[in-house]
Amino acid sequence: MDALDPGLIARAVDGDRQAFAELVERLHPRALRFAHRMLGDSPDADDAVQDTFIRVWKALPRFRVGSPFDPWFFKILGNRCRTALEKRRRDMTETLEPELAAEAAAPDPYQLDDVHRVLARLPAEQREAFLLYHVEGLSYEEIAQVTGAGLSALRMRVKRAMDTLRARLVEVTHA
Amino acid sequence: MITLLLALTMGTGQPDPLLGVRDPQLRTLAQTELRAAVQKGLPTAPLIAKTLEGQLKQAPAPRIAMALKALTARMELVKTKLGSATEPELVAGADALAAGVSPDALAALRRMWPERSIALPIGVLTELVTRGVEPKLATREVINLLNRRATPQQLIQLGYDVSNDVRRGQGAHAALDVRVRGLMGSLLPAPAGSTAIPARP
Amino acid sequence: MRDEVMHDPVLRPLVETARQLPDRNPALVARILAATATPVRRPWWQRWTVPAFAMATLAATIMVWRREAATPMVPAVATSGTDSVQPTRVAPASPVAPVASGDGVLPATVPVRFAFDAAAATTVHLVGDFNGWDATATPMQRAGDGRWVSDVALAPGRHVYAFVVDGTQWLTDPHAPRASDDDFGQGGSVLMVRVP
Repeated sequence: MDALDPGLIARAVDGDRQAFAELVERLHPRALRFAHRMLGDSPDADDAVQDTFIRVWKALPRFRVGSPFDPWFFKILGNRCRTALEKRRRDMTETLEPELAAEAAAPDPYQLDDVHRVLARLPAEQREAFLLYHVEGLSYEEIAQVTGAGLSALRMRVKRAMDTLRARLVEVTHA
Repeated sequence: MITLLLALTMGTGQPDPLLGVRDPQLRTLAQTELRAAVQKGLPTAPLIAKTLEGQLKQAPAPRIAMALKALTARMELVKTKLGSATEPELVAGADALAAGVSPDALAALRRMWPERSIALPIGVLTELVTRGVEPKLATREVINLLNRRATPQQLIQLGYDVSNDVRRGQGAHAALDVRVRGLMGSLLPAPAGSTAIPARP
Repeated sequence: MRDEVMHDPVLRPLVETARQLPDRNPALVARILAATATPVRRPWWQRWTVPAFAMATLAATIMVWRREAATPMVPAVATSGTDSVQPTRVAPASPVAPVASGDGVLPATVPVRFAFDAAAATTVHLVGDFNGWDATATPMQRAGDGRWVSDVALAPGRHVYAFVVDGTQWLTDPHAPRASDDDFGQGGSVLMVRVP
């Protein structure tokens, strides 16, 4: 994981536009990776990332320089993705049958390869915990800050996610 | 107008809206269906057109009558889902239902475009589904595009492009995916309230 | 546990794939920088600086934004079947300029020329949803070399049509996509009327 320079973050917190631009440049592929896994490779994911950086820019003056940046950043991004999922589900519930709405709110399976399709079928909470832990490299303590969930619950989510993924991947491989 | 004409004709011997229908059995059956439509507050022009279409295709009269009943039922459902609906919307909606589009999808389109006719986006949706796009996916993409303020021209172009891509052998979902991505690049990024849009200077 | 997954032969490929970073997205970066170009109210103890870079970024990204937002509408219909000996439909060479604009205002109708090659035919009529499938409403005219043509004004959008030869024979356009028809089992041809 390419760690961000604390000096860069400090300058961005200080209102340095160039530092913020560099932060966006360095961080946006990672943000897109997370958003795409949470929302599918859709415009919603781009919107979530754009909105996240706007919120980050506004909230940076309140960031405590020296504290870990990743949990702070992913808390904003995670919230934004959850809101997008919820909005998608709500919109779909208004317009489609409930069971269809839940299915339609998940990332679009037609745009994903086998691996991502399997990932997309996880419940959102499990998918989020799995991605933050195994893909973004956050600790359980940090994920607790991001999600507000307890440590044991998070460990359980990641374990369940792994069990489900393993079973489905075996299924896909044998199909 | 045609409804009025029909009402006049049936009682007063005015010009016959089914003038082009030669088969007496078909005329009788069609008149029954036209009356039923009038009672339900539906336009009769689409039913007359369907009668002529069936006649052109040399379908037997009972089959044409069944098609008229089905069309009436579909228009009735569209009317229920859209609230008030214009004749082009009823016809487009009925075609969409016949193609496999869900009634709720039509209601969703109405909510997206309350101030103008949705016959056009319904037609695009029908075209996508006819080419093999799964109806739920087609609905989601069209709604997403409307949400991003795609213009009618862009919607038509999408239907046209996907249709052509499929004719050239591309898979319907792949074609839709590629064309939607192409279109997204030229659209505003966000619906109001869900995403920030840079303020204009 | 994190290392454990990399020793799992089933999960390892998934995690490796999931860790792949997408390409950088310059358009997205430009939008973010444009959207954050307005200064944020900062605590009094923080130094207030808006470097020249910020203004330069603002100017550049607004230009990008404007270009994106003002992307012109799609080009005109360009279908051509004039070199074909098969029944076909061709678009008008110079369609009437529409009122269409980026705000989605559409012209009521767009002129479309239909062409059909049927040298042996005595009569050819154009039928479709636009003329109520009336086989007498839109006769086509001979245009030489066995070609029949008809110019009609159609509303933008999806239309289904066919040709009727000698009053009875129903023929579709082999160069156009087919419509489905559960009612009678013989779908017509589909035309998406675009706006120039």
